[in-house]
Amino acid sequence: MKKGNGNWFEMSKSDFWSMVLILLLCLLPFALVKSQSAFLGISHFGWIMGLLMFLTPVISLAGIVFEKREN
Amino acid sequence: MKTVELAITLGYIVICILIGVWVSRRVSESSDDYWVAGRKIGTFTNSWAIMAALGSGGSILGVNGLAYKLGIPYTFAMYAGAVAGFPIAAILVARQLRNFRVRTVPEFLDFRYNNKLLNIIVPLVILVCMEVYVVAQLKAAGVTAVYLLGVPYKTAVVLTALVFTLYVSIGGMWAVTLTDVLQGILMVTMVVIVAIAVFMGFGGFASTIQQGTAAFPALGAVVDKPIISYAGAFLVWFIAACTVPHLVMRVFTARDAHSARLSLNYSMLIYAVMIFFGVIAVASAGHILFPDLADADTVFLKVMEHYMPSRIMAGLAVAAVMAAVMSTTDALILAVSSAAVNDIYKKHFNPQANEKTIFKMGLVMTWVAGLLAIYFALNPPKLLTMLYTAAVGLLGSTLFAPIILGIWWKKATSQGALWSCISGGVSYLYLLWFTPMPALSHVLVSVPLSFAVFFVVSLMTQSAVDSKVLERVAVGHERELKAAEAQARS
Repeated sequence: MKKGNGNWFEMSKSDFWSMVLILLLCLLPFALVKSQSAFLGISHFGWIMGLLMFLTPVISLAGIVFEKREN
Repeated sequence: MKTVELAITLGYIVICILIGVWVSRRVSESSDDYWVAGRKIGTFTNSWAIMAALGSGGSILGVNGLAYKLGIPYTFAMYAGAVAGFPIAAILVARQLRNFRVRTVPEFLDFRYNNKLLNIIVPLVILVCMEVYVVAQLKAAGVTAVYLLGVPYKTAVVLTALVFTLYVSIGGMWAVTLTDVLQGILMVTMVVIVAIAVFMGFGGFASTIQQGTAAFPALGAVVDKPIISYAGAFLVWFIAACTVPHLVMRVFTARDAHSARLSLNYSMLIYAVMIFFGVIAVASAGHILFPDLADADTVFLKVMEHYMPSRIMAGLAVAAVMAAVMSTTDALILAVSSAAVNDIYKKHFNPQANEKTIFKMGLVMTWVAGLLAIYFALNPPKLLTMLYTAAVGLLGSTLFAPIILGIWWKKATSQGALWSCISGGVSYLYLLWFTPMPALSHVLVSVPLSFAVFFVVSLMTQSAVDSKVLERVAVGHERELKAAEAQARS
C-alpha cells in the first residue's frame, strides 16, 4: 500500500510532473495578457489559450502512458 | 412554423425517449445501475458523455456569441480554463474517487470527514446550484426553439423538460450516458461541418481569420479588462471539473480508474476541437457577413443558415443545439435527484431504506426536480445569468478545498473541511453581491481563503484525525486496485 511520506499521500512521478507542467502552461499566457503582439490578427495570448486546450489533455495522457510503463 | 426542422427535432426527441425506455430494463430496482450505470461505462462512451455533459447550450450558442462580442482571446481564456481543469481532475481526483466506490460527492465527503453539519450543507448547496443551472439551460432551450422552430417559449420549455425528465426518470444514468453519446456526436459533427464550410468559403483557415480580424480588429485583440477578470474566468471553470457534481459523477460511472482518467482527457480533446475551430470559423464569418448583430448569441445560427440552406441540415443543426442543452440538463437533473435521495433522504430521513425504496425515490425526485425546473423556467428570474455563474463559482468555493485536501492531505480534519466550506461559500457570495469586483474574479479570493481556513483549522484540530479513515483513503490511492478489480470481474 502506497501511503507516501510525511503529511501527503504519494503521487506518481509522471502524475506530479504532468500536473506541474500543466499548471505552468496555465500561468504562462497571463504573462502575455497585456502584450499587443499578434499572429494572423489574433493576439499571442489568444493563440496560447487556444493551444492550451489541446496541450493540457495531451500532457495528462502522456503522463498516464509513462505511469503505465513505470508500473 | 418550420415543418421540416420541427420534424427532425421531434425525430431526435423520440430517439432520446426510446433510448430511455430501452435502458430502463437494465436499471430495474438496482440503485447502482440507476445512479452510476453499474460502474460499467467504457472509455469511448464516457469520453463522449463527459464532453456532452460539459458542452451545454453555451458551448454552441454562448461561446460564439461571446467571441463575436468580446473577441477570441477572452473566449479562449474562459474555455481553456474548463478544458485544462479536466486533465488536472484526471490527476488529482479521478483515480481516488473511482476507487472509493462512492456514488456522489457528499458521499465521499461523508466517508472522509463524517461531519453532520457538512452532510447537511453540501447536499443543500448542490441541490440549489444544480437546480439554478437546470433552469438556465432550460431557458436557453426555450429561446432557441422560439428562434429556430417558431414554437412558443412556454411550449418549448415544457416539452424539452418533459422529454429529458422522462428518459432520466426511467433510465437513470444509463439513459443519461447513452443519450449524451448521441447528443455529443451530433453537436460536434454539426459544429465541425459548419466550421469546414466556413473555411472552404473563405479560402482556408488562415484566410478566414485574416478576413475576420480585418473586418473587426477587436476580434483578435485582448479586450480591456482587468487581468483578474481573465484569471477569474479561467479559474471558475478550471476547478469545475473537480467540483461540479454532474461532471464528477461521470468518474463514478467509469469501469475502472484508468478508464476514468483516459475519458476525462479524451473528452477534452474532442471538446477542444469543437470550441477552437468552431469559434474561429463562426466568429470570423459572423463579423464578415453579419457585422452588426443586435443579439451576439444568434451568430452561430446566422452563419449556419448562411452556409446550410438545406432545410434538412438546418433541422439537424437545430437538433444539435437542443442536444447540447439536453445533454447537460439530463446530467444535472440526475445530480439533483441523487443529492436529494442519496445524500438527504437516505442519510437523514430513512437510513434503513432498501434498494427498491431508493430506486423509487430516485424516480420521484427526478420528476420533482424536472417539474420545479419547468416552473422556474416559465417565469425565469431576471438575474438568472448572474445566479447561474454564481452557482458554478459557489460550488468551486465550497467544495474544491475539502475534496482535494480530503484526498491528498493526511492532516485534513472534519472541522477543517466544515469551516473551509463555510468560509469559501460565504466569502464568495459576499464578494459577488456586496463588492464591485470584476465579473468572475471573486473565486480568486474565496478559493485561496477556503484553503487557508482549511489548513489553519485542521492544524488546530489534529486530535480529530482518524487513522482508520486514513487507511481507507490510502486504499483509494492504490494504482493496483484497477488490476484487482479487473481480476475480480473476470
